[in-house]
Amino acid sequence: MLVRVRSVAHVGLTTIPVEVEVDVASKGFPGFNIVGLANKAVDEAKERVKTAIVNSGMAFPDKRITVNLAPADIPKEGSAYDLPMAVGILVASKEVEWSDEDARAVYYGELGLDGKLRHTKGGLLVGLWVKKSGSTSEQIARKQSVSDEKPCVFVPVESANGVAVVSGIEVKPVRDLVQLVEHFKGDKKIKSLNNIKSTDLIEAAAVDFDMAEVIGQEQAKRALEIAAAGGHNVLMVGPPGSGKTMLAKALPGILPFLSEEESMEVSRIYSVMGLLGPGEALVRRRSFRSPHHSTSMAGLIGGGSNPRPGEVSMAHLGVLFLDEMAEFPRTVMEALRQPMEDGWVVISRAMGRMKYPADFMLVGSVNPCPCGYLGHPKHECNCSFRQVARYKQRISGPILDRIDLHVSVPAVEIDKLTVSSNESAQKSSQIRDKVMGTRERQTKRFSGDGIYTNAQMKNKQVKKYCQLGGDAERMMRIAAEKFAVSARGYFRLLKVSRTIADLDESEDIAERHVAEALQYRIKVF
Amino acid sequence: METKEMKVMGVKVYCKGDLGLLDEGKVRLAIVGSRKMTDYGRRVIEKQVPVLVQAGVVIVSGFMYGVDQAAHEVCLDCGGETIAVLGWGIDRGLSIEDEKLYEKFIKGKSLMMSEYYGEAMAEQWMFVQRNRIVVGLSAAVLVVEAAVKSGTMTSVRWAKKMNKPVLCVPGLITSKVSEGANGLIKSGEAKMVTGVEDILEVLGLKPGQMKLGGVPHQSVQDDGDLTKVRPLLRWLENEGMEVDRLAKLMKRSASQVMVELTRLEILGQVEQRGGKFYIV
Repeated sequence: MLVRVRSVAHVGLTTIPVEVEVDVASKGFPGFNIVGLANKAVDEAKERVKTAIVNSGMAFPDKRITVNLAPADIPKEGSAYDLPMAVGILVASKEVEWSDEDARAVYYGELGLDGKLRHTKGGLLVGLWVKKSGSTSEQIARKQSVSDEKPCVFVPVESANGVAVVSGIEVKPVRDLVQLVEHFKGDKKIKSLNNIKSTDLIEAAAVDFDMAEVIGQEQAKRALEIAAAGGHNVLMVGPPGSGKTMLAKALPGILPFLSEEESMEVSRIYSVMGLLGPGEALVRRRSFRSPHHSTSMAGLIGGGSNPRPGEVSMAHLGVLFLDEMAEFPRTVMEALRQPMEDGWVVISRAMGRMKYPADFMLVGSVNPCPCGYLGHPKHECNCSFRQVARYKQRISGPILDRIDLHVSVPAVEIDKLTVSSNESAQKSSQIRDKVMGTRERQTKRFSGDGIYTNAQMKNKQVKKYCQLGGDAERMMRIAAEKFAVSARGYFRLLKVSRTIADLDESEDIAERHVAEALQYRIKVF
Repeated sequence: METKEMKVMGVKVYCKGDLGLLDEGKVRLAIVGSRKMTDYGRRVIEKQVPVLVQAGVVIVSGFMYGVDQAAHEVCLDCGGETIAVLGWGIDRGLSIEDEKLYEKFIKGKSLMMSEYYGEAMAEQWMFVQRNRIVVGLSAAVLVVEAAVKSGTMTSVRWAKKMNKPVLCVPGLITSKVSEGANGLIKSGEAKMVTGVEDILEVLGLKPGQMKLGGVPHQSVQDDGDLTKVRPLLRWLENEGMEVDRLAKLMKRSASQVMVELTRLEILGQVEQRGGKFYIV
């Protein structure tokens, strides 16, 4: 008998339907074959499915079993086909009968040898696809009633939360094969999981550090506030131990909360990467990725023979922190230029061409010299002039040119650290409120421009929204000459001035806003 | 530039540039010091060299990075005359870092010379020999930042041999690159310099006998007036500071301090180096 079970495959971030055809033949030698470009993980499903069925106290047919994963020309990988195969074998061998309703559902999940279902990555994408394909032409062709029936999906109980955030579908959490068989028989139906409201989940999630915990460094904090408010990239220059990493880690705490839409976008990437743990539904806070400087180009940008997202995509709508930026290989750094400009990356490999979102905020940190102590009040720097000059050349001009805010983070004096109270310091939550207010202003301003933040402004918009008047214009003109500001640098200064004015709740960019922006120009590095 | 061979003090040298700088009537001063010049050393040079240039003094040094190059650069930047005595072959290619200064040499009134022909590689001993010419050309030697064991000390020894006065700018007693200079003052081998007048006096150019114009003497009163309008300047009078430190001392927010600093930068009152702000 032939049985068709519906399932899905992920190609990059897109999901395509896969039909798992299971045939249990009445003739032929007993055997188990999987066809349809299955990789090793899929092929090994034979052993898992067989053992799981036997260990669940059911009979595994000693007949010739053929499984076809259609469409047969797309490579399949992963362990999510375990469940549809097991269901197909049980139904095809007449171990159990299923209703038409259950036959229309989608099955997705990995099996353990004991018959229990395991957490399987990619759940969210399955949910989104099931919703989209609610009433497929295929079902209409089968002339089955699809009137008010919600599309239904069976997934492992541990992955169910990640699917249930999608509204308008029925999510059936399956614990093990025995439970599923009872459901088919109608003895004990599996209850659908309630839809999880994503807004309930996106709330203040704790961050590693609060800005108030960072002692001193008022200038750097102010720079991060501006960066968060306008979505600007930042470079911090300072000796080791001055708090650059701590400041960067505190940054997600002052960034605006993820919106429902944004959270979904980030969660898709995390889901397909298997970064959402068992029971987790959505990514609730902005990601903070800090790849080590030994990270390869494929690791940072994305890659592999079957292209997977890299760090830039995992930092989507969050922060990409490059600690010791001068230590990153130059080729890897240069590869960041395109995603920094466009907000996405396209990775082309033998197995296909994938486009992944990569709209991140770059935060870099560098030492002023190889030993790190150039200009340190107590520590002597033992680098030669040449070494320092060479070190400074390690970060290319085009990358520096794409960083709006350059700030020096000086060494903190030890006696300051012992002062327990830092009463004047602003809490992350206070700064975040200001940042969110500023973002609202920007959203309103750019409603017709297809951008969200000041940092995203193109020259045309800069000319439109960053008009300088009187004093501000005069200051900009003198400064441009005195500090030899390039054309790109000029636009960058205007964008930063715009954000500072927004933080000041001022519609016009005043002289003081320009003056402050000028302090973040490229200088130290 | 064309290379000319000539004899200076009985030594055969190769020269490129304005040979007029070797005229007898010119007053030449050697400025020597550490390659590991600190901000302090740079400030000393920036403060004194322009005045010396105005007095018509030719600055002689060794084209090494640090104090040497700072002295050449500041001198050329304010239109002065300078002589670089190289410790390598006269035609040897320069590193990229030195190129910029070399361009200034070409544009300005300058002379480059070396005892070594062609593209001879630099060796340790050549620098010591080179120092003998630096000192020999000059009426006096000014030491700005020098460690106890350093090439600068060989210049001082040459000066003693040739009976030329040695002048020293005192440094911080906590700084390693000042130990040599301070030691010379302490032992009485060098005359202490606390102002440019001391140098002019040794060179026989009393402030009253300026060759070109007068010294722009900053009177205390001017400063007083300016700090009233710009209170921030008062905090920077003695040392350079970061934004954070200024903000704390002035009890202002970092952003307010930054605004004021930009205004002062544009007025040319302060400048920023390595994250710290200094009075110009």
